[in-house]
Amino acid sequence: MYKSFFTILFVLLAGLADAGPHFADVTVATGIDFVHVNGANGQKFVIETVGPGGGFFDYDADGQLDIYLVNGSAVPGTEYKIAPQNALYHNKGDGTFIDQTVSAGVGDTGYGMGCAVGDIDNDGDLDLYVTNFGANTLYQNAGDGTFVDQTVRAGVGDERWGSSSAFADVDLDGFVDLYVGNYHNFSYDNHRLCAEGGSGLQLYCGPEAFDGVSDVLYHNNGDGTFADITNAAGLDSDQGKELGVVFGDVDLDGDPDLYLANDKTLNFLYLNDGTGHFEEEGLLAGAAYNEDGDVEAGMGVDMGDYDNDGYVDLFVTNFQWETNTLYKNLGDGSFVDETFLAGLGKGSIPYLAWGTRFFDVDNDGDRDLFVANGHLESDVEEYENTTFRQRNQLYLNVGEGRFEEYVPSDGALALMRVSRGAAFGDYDDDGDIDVLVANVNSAPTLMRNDRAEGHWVRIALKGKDSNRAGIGARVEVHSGGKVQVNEVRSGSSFLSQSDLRLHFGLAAAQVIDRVVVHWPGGAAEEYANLSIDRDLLLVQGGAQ
Amino acid sequence: MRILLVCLTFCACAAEGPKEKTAEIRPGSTMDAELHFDRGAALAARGRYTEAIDAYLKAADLAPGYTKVQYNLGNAYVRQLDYPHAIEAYQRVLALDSTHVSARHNLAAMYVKQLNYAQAIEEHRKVLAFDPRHMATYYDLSYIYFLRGEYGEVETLLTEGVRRDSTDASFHRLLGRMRFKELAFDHAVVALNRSVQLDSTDAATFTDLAQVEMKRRDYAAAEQAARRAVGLDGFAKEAYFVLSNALKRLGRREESKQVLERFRALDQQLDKIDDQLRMLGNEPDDHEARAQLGLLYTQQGHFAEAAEAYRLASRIAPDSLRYRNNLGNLYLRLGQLEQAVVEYQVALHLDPQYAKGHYNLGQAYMRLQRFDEALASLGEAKKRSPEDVEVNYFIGLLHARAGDFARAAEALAVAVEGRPEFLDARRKLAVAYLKTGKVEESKRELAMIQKMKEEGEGE
Repeated sequence: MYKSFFTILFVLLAGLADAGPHFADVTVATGIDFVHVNGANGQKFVIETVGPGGGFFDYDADGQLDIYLVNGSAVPGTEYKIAPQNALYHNKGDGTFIDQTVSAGVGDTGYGMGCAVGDIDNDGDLDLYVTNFGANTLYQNAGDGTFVDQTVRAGVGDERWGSSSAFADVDLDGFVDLYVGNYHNFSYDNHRLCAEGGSGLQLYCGPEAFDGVSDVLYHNNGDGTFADITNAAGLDSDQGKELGVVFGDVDLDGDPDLYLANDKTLNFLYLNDGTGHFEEEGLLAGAAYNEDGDVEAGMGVDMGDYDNDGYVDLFVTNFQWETNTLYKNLGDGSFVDETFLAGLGKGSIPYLAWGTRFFDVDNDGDRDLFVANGHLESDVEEYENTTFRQRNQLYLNVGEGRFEEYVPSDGALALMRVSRGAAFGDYDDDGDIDVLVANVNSAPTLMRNDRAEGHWVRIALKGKDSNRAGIGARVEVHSGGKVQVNEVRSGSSFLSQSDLRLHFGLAAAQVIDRVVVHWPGGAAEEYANLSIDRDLLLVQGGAQ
Repeated sequence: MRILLVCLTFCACAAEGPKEKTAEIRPGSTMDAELHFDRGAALAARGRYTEAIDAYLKAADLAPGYTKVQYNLGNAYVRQLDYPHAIEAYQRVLALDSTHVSARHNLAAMYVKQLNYAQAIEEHRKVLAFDPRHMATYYDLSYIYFLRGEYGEVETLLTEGVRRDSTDASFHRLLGRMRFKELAFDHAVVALNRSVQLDSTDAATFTDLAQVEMKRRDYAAAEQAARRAVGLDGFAKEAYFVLSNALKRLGRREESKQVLERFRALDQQLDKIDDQLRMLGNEPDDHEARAQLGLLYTQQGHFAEAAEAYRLASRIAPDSLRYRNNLGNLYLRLGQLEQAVVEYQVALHLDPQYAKGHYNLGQAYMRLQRFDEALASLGEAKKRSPEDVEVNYFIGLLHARAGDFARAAEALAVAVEGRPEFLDARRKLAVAYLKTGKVEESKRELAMIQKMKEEGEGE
C-alpha cells in the first residue's frame, strides 16, 4: 500500500519535475556526421574563435527542412589531407538526413563563418550565401537539387572577413538585396597575441586589437547581378565590428530597418526611409549601449515581439561577464534596456553568448528565448572562473514581460558544448520548433523538441509583387484573444539561417480568428477563420 | 563592460633618514653620493625627472647600498612611465631591505601596470604581512581581486579595511561596486550612499549610484544621483547617459534627448581620443600625436591625462616650446604650481622672447604668492608686449598690492585703454587714482563704470 502510494507520488513528482520543454540530442541518430574544424594549432589566429554557423532551409522545396553546416579550414601551420568543406544534409522525411553536399555542389572550402538564404531570382527556390574569412560565396539554386556558384557573376564575393549576413528587400522593388556584416581587419599579416592580466598567458586578441571595416550592402539588380550600394545607402561606416545582423521593421513604416550587433563598439540601428537609404539612430533610439552606458561585446542578435505589444523588440547576446541585453521597443521609435526587469540579466553573466532567437518553444502563444554559449579559450579554466564548454540556455516567457531560465537536468539542453550559431525550425514536422546548434571543432547538436503541447500554425508566404519568399513580410495572427506578430526574416541569430516559415504557438485556441499579412512594399491582406495545427501557404493576392 | 581606472596609491614618500647600509659605499664617496642624491631629489621635486634620474644613477654608482637612492630612482622612473626600470629599482631596494614596505607597495603597483596581477597580489600580501596597518594596500589589493572577479577576497579585505578605517570612502565605493556586480542592488545602494556621505565630491561614485538606482527602478533617485555626478564633473559621460535614461523612464523625453546630445558630444571626443591612442600604439614616438591627445584630453576636462600626454610629447621633442607651455598650463590647472614654473622656465629657455611664456610664468608665481618674481616675469612680458591688457592688469594688481599705486594706475590705465569694457580694471584704476590723490580721475572712472552698467556694457 505504502509502496504503491510512494510509487505514484514519485511518478507524479517526476512528471512535475519534467513538465517543461525537453530537447533530445538526435544528431547522430538522424545521420548528421559533420564535424566542424577551425584549424587551430596553437598560434591562436582570431578567426578560429568566431565560426561556425548553420541553417535550416528547404532547398529542394519538398516541404522538409534540410540542414546546411558551415566549416572552417586550415590556417597557416595546419594541414588537412582532405580539405574541410561545408555540408548540406537532405531531410529524407523519415526523421533522418543524408549528406548531399557533393551532388548539390555547395561544399565550399573557404574558411567558413555563416550562411543566409533568400530567393534572389524569385524563381521559387531558395539560394544560399556563405560568408567566409576571405571571399564569400553565392550559390544559386538551380531548382533541381543542385546549386551553381554565381559569386563572380553576381559580384558578391566580398573578400574581407564576413560574419553574419541577411537578405532583405531594402528598396521594396520586389528583389531581395544582400547585407554582409564584416567583423574587422584581422589578417595573417597583422596577427598577434594579447596578454591576459594576471596569468601572463598569451590569448586570442579581442576586437580592440584590430580596426573595424565597412560592411557591404549589395543591391539586387534583378538580372542575377548585384551592385555595391553601401555608400549610397548611408551604410558606409568602419566604426563597427559587426557580428550580428538582423533586419526588421522597428518603426512599423513598412520597410526593413537594420540592426547590427557590434563587438565592443556601439550597436547600430539603421532606420530605412523607404527608399533603401538608411540613417543611423542607435544612440538616440536607446539601442546602442546598455542601460549603464557601456559598450558591450555584441555577438548574436534577434528581433521579436516578446511582450505581444505589436512592436518587435531586440535581443543581443554578449560576452561573458556582461549580460545579454534586451531592448524593449516603446513604439515611438525608441527602446529601453529591459534586461534586468525581464529577468534576463543575472543568468546570462556567466556565459559567453552567441546564437539566439525569440521562438515559442512550448506553443503557448508567447516567444521564449534560446541562447547558445561557449568560450573562446580552450584553457580559460586556468585563469578564470569559467569553462570553455558551456551550457546553452532556454528562457521561458512567463508573461508580463518576464522570462525565467529553464534548466533541465537531462537532454540536449544539459549538454556542455562550445556553441556558436543556432538555427530554428521544425525539421521533423511535428508542430514544434527544433534547434540546430553549430559547435566549434566538433559535431553540431540537432536538438529535437519533444514536449511542446500547445496548438500551432506555420505560415509560408509566396510573394508575387513582393519578393517571392516574402522576406520582410509582417504577419499578425489573431487567436485566443491575443495578437501575435512576426516577420519573415533572413539571417539573424549568429551566422545562421532559420526556417523562413513563421511558426506561431496558439496554446489552447481551437481556431485562428484572423491572419493579416503586410507584404513588403504591398498591401495588407487578411485571412479569417483558419484551422489550427497545420501549414498555411499564403500567396500574395490570394486573400479571401 | 565598465572598467574602473586602477586607482593605485603611488607612494612617493620622501626618502628615509640616514639609517643606510654603508658596506658597499666606496671610501670617500659618501659625500659625493649624498650630493648627487640631494640634487636628484631637488630636481624631482621640480618635476625634472630625466635629470633627477641621472643624478640618482650617479649617486647609486657611488653608493650602491643606499636604499633611499634606489627608492627615489624607482619613483622617478615611475614618473617617466618607465615601469620596467622602476621595477628593477624597487627590487634593488628590497634586496637591500626586504622590510621596505613603500618600495614593495610601489613594486606591486608596477606589476599592476604591467597587468601582472599574480605578482602584484604576492607583493601586496607581503606588504600586509610586514605592516597590517598599510591602508592603501587594503584598497589596492581589493581592487586587483575585484578586477579578477574574486569577490570573496574583495569582501575579506574591504571588511578589514573598513574595520581599521570606517571613514575611508574608497572602501565603501569598491564594496558598492562589488555588490553591483553581484547584482545585489539594495546592498550596493547602501554602500555607495555611505561612500558619498564620506566624500561627496566624487562624481564617479554618484554615477555608480545612479546606475544602481536604475536597476532598482528608482528613476527619481537615479536622476538625482546622475545630476550630482554631472554637477561635480561636467565631463562625466556615463552620468549623462544614465541621466538621459532616467529622464526617459520618467517620461521627460525632450530633456532626455537634450542630455543624450551632451553625452554624444562627449562620446565623439572620446572616440577621437581612442583613435589617437590607437595611432600611438602603432607610432609611440609620434610626439605630434601625443600632443594632439593632450589637446583632446584638455577639451574633455581630463587635465591629468592631458598633462601626461604633453609630458610624453615633451620627452620625445624636448625643444618644443608649445608642448612645454601647454604642459605648464595644465600643471597650473592641476594646482601643481612648482611643476608649472619649471615648464614655463624651460619654454622661456627655448625662446626668451616668448611673451606669453613670461606672462604664464608670472601667473604661476602669483599663485605661489611669489609676488616679486611674478612682477618681474610680467615685466618681461610687458617689454615684449607692452599693450597687452592682461599683462598690464596683473602688473597693476601687483603694484597695488605692494602699495605702489602710481605704477598700478599707470599699468591699469593701459589695460583699460586696451579694453574699455573691462570693468574690473576700471574699478582697480579708480582706486589707484584715489590712492594717488587723483580724485577727479577716480570719479571719472567710477562714472564711466556706472554708465557702462546702465547701458549693459562692460564685462
